[in-house]
Amino acid sequence: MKKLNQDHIIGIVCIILSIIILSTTRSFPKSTTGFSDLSGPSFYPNVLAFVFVFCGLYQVIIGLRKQEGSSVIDLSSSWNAIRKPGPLNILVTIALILCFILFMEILGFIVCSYMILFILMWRFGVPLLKNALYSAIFVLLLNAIFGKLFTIYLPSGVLDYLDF
Amino acid sequence: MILGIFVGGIPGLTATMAVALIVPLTFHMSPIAGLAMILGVSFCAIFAGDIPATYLRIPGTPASGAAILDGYEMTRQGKGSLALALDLTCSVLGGLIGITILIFVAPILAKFALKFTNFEYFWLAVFGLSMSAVISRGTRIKGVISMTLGLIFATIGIDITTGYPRFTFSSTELMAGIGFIPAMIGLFGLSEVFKYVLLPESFRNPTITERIQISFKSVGTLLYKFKLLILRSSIIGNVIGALPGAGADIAAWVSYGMAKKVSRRSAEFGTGIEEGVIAPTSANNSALGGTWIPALVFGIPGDTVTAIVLGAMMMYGLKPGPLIFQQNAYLVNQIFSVALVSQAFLLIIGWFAIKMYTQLFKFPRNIVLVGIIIFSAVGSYALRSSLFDVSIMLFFGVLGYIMESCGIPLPPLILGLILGPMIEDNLRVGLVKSDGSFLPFITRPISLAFFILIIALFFGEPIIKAIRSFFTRRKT
Repeated sequence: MKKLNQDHIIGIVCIILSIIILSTTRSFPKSTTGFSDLSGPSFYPNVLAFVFVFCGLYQVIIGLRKQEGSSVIDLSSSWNAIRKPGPLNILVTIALILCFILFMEILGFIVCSYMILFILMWRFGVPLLKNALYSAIFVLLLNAIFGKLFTIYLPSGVLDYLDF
Repeated sequence: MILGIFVGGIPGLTATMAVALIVPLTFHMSPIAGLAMILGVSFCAIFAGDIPATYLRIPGTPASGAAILDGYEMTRQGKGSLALALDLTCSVLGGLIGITILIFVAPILAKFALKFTNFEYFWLAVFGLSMSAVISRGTRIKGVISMTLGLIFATIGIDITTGYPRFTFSSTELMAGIGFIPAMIGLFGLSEVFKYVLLPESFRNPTITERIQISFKSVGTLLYKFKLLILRSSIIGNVIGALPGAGADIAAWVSYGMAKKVSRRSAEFGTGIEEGVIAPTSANNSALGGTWIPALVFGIPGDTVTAIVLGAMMMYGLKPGPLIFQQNAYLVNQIFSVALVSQAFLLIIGWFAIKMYTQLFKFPRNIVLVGIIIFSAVGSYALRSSLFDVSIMLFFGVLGYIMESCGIPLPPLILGLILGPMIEDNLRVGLVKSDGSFLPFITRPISLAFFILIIALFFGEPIIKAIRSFFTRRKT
């Protein structure tokens, strides 16, 4: 059985995306300006979806032609790859940015940013004392630039009573 | 300018990233102050990228790729200081020539652009996108995929003609569409960070053993000797920079190739000769002036930096295009003046930058990366005080990383995101004007010229190859 390679996957993703676009635009209202649907909200996304279908099919064909000697995606080794320090660093970074999004309003900018910086630097191997110092410098610098200089609202959260 | 020097000189961090990071800080300034900051950052970042290229054989930015060849060889021969001094002065001269061309060419082109209607603007935007898709690294089809993806993202939000919300999935935040800036910070900032954190061994910084000392003694003589090379490289850089989608990196390589082709010492290129440093470094900074020509005149970005600039200008309430030369002539003149003045500052700051870079290279990379992550998050939030924008940044960061891992170029996506509304608006207004007929899109002279150019861009090479092989077969 032939295995999937990178070109196949890109092609299949393009085709799936275009199918989603085409099925979503079916619910869009028709144009009211007289001449067909050319000026309606679905016309332009549909054109793009067809371009995407073409690109997807082309990629699949390229993938089939490259079959011999091309890089094959081996899904069974994916879990082992994720557990390596590099990919784990990416996952930790993503998780911490998600924490920033979820908890900044509750914890406040200073506490939330400090915790994220501290964990990231710890993860990236910065010595503990340096880590604590650099994290504090970064937070104070960002607070000074964005909060004080450009008067952008940065939530105080749990430090609300300190009137930062 | 200092941020530009800092980011540009750190290998892997690009001028685009420096500009994307500085933009959120400029929204609360006057438009000219914001644009001055962006100009300063971009010029400095391109030059700073040449410093690690010359000393460490690692280009600080993609535009410094060509500067490695002879710059590093000169360093190995103990002439690193001369290479960097040449680099700095040629960057300043190239920048000055590029801006002078911009000042004289842009207003003339703007008068011509006033003749453009919806049909021409539609093709011009498609031409800009096509150029970016064709020129970008990777296969053409991947460039087209990236471009189309950008155009699709641009359709998210309320349809400007009918007011119908498209692909918003009942999210009120998506009604206004995808923000350019968080998307760009994600694509160029966060995705770049992902590349580095994937390799923990890259956290160990390259160290410089040699002490950097700049010598301007022999630079003057060399600049006079190679004055024509500087002029030619700067013009080539500027012309390439003005092509939508092409940027300083392509300009530097083409200029290096051209210098090698016409030089009497052609065979010595790559062994550490001055011409090999002068050509790419003059071209990459001159290309920056070139990229502003399509951006200001047509509202089409010349490269990813000007793509961000266009996004920023729209946020300031400015509409780049031919009318900006009439409605905001004062601002345009201010931009030109700032660009010229920034060259003088580049000479001074660049000089100090070279001196101080030994210390900066010793700064741990892991701390720099963490700084970029938090700056990306806060920068995206600061734009509208919206945590949703941070989600957009994260989404595009992951997307950018996946795309680059698959060999899909990022610049066409950004150009698609920026030019999407322009293409759709002009297409639909054009169709309304022509009662649903596509004919005016290919029968008007300028439209037809653009249409032929686009066809030639995608199919010119295979057609020429087919014709050549046909004639070769006939001969045999």
